[in-house]
Amino acid sequence: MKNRFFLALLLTIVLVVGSTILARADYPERPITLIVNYSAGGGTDMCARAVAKRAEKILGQPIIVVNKPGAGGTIGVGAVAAAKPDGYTIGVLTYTPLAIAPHVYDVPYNPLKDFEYIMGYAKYLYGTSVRSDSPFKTLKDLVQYAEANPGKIKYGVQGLSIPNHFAMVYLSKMAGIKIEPVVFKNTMEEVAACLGGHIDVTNQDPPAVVPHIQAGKLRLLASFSDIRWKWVPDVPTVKEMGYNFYVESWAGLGAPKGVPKPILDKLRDAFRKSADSEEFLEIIDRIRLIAEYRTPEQFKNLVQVGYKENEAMVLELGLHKSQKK
Amino acid sequence: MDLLGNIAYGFSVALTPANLLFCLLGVFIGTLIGVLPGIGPVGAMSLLLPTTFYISPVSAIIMLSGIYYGCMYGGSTTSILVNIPGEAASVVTCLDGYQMARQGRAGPALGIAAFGSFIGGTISLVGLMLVAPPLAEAALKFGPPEYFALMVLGMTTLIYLASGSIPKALMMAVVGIILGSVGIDATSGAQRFTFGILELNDGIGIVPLVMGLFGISEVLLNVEQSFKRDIFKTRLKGLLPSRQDWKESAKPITRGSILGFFLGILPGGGALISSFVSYAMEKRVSKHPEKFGQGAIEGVAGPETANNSATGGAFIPLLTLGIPANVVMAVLLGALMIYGMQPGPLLMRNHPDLFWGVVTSMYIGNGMLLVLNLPLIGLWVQVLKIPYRILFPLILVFCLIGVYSINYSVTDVLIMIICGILGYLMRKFKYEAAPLVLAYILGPMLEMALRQSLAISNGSFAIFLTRPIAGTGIVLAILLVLSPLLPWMRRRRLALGEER
Repeated sequence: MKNRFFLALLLTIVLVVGSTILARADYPERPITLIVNYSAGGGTDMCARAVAKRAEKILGQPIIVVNKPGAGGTIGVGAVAAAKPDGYTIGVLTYTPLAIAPHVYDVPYNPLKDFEYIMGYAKYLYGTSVRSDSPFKTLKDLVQYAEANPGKIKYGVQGLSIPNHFAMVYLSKMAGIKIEPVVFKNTMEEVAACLGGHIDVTNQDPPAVVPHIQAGKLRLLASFSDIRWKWVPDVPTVKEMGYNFYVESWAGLGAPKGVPKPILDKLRDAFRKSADSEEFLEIIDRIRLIAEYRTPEQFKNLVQVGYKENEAMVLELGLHKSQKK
Repeated sequence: MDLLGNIAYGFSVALTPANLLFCLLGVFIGTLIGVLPGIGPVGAMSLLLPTTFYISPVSAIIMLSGIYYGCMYGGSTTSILVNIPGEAASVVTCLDGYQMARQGRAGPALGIAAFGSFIGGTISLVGLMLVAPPLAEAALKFGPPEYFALMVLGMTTLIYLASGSIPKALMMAVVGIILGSVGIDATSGAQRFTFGILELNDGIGIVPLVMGLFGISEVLLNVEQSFKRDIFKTRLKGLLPSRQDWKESAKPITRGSILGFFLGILPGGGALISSFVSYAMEKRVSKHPEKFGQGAIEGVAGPETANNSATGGAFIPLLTLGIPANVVMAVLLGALMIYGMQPGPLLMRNHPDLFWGVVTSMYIGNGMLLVLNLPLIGLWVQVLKIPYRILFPLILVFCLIGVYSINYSVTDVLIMIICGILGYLMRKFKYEAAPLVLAYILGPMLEMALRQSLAISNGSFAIFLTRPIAGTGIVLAILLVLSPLLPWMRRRRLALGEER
């Protein structure tokens, strides 16, 4: 009797373990959902769709893109964290909701604990531009003017506690100048205000300003990233000009914590190949982001380091969630 | 190339069989999307965007543009038939359009909306071709102080949206401003009225709000009255606008076309605001303002023309400057980038096939829409013959699915239901929803513009008076508010107050 019981138990264990191993070997056997944390049609979305398109050929199953925009990208990221860790739900993890937003307001996830990272695949660049008839020909002109006229220079940002905003705060700290932010609802309104001469400076990314730079309406003064903008290669980075900082922001992929290792490996492998594909590189170039692969470890590290650095910054600006009550 | 040459070239692009087909496809999808509550042009266009990668960029943009203006056509249909705005710019159409339907005049209402849309769309296209570049430059002159003045002017139109008690309308406006301020305040980063709910960080969406206030509340109200229902039993009086209707609508359509075009050029929700302003303007100049809200055809003709005219205007900053005037245009801008086109000042020069092809395709598309929509009127009117017990559950289902489909968010569904109950109570106690919606839209824009202006001026309010455009707007608004004190204006104002 006892033996029989153990035999049954053993059999069950073999069956259960066996079937999960088999299942893993077969993964994926149904479509995979990819949650994008911004609206359809935007840069992050188009980039994610491009990377998914190639990966579904490698994985042999369709990847269904679902947009869950809102609250600065945190809603989509939260949905990834809350999903079942079976490898059938993955999502775009972007830098701001991971490394900045958790300090600013309560989010339903822990960026350091709730995710399995798959890769980082695209970098957003930042820089500061002025109207082409502006007296500021270089960043130095702007800094000198600001030194002589504290608080006179108004720069646009499309929200607080985002990399574009931090870059200007770093700059004003390191150059010892006082410049004032004017907050806009979105990128396009900010760029329009700069083109119309209502603000002195706009801090938008290449997709928003490169067309105007090439048409001779705006002038880039400096890149806030660690590299120059390849569309305007003559303009140096702030670091080259002696201000020792740069800001960064990334798009990557992740899954909820607890996805079995073999499945994770399969996903990582497929997406690494996809991020290297001609198809993907072409799209990302057109939407003026920078394709750069980061391993899961590197990407995780990026988030961890950024999370720490930004906490200090958010606290200093008085925007930390603990300072609001 | 001269203008005529350009137009001829544009037609040669737009009239190729493939482009004609995509134009038709675009306006057809647009009409459908417009009719379905909830999902709007932005959602539809961005969902279709990836599928357009395989066709030529010009065809793709022709189709995507078709969806946009097709949607503006279709949006009025449900407003008129069942009091549910198909998209946000058709909110005001509910006010008189639905009343017309209740009086058996759904046909003329739908007809004048279609004709008005056609005329408005066409006039704005002529404007687009003739004066696009200089106008786009002029639109850039609108900075935060100018927007502030514009919003103040917009707020003064509140009074014309009320057909009942003015104090009640003002109370509703305050509620609207409060609802509009929900979410993260961009300037300070503070969370306002979010109660820790993450989904509320972006504020209350306009679609769940208006669908609740207008649509759901309508259903609730009718469920209650189901036994004594005989409103729609009145014989349908004609399917097309009569000569009298045309006479009454001619001027609103003309004014709406011009107004919509200019407001559409300005970045920031031109179509939406132009429809409200047009309604207010029509009521202001009307000889019988008391009829507004009771089924005045001018109240349908003006706003519907204006919101379609605004779509043409909205293309100007995108095509000439590379600046999208609204979210729909931002999606188009993304599309252009994907196709490897340079959106921006050089677009017109480097890709004349795109610019002139798309612009002329809009002429064709507008014609198609008219042909598509007029025969549909007969069909739509039949919808009203469906018994309520079948129609209303269907409406509810469509609303629920529609609202969920925007962000896949249950919170949006809940907001709609809560707004539905709120709207029901408001109707019971004779509080109107239109002033609430206007204040909800304008309030946050007004606040943003005010704070931006003050940031620019280092806190000095003089900025609103020293800049010519802003100063003129503010003075105009003050005059409008003070106008009841002037003797010759007093009579009309009294007439307004005594309605009902």
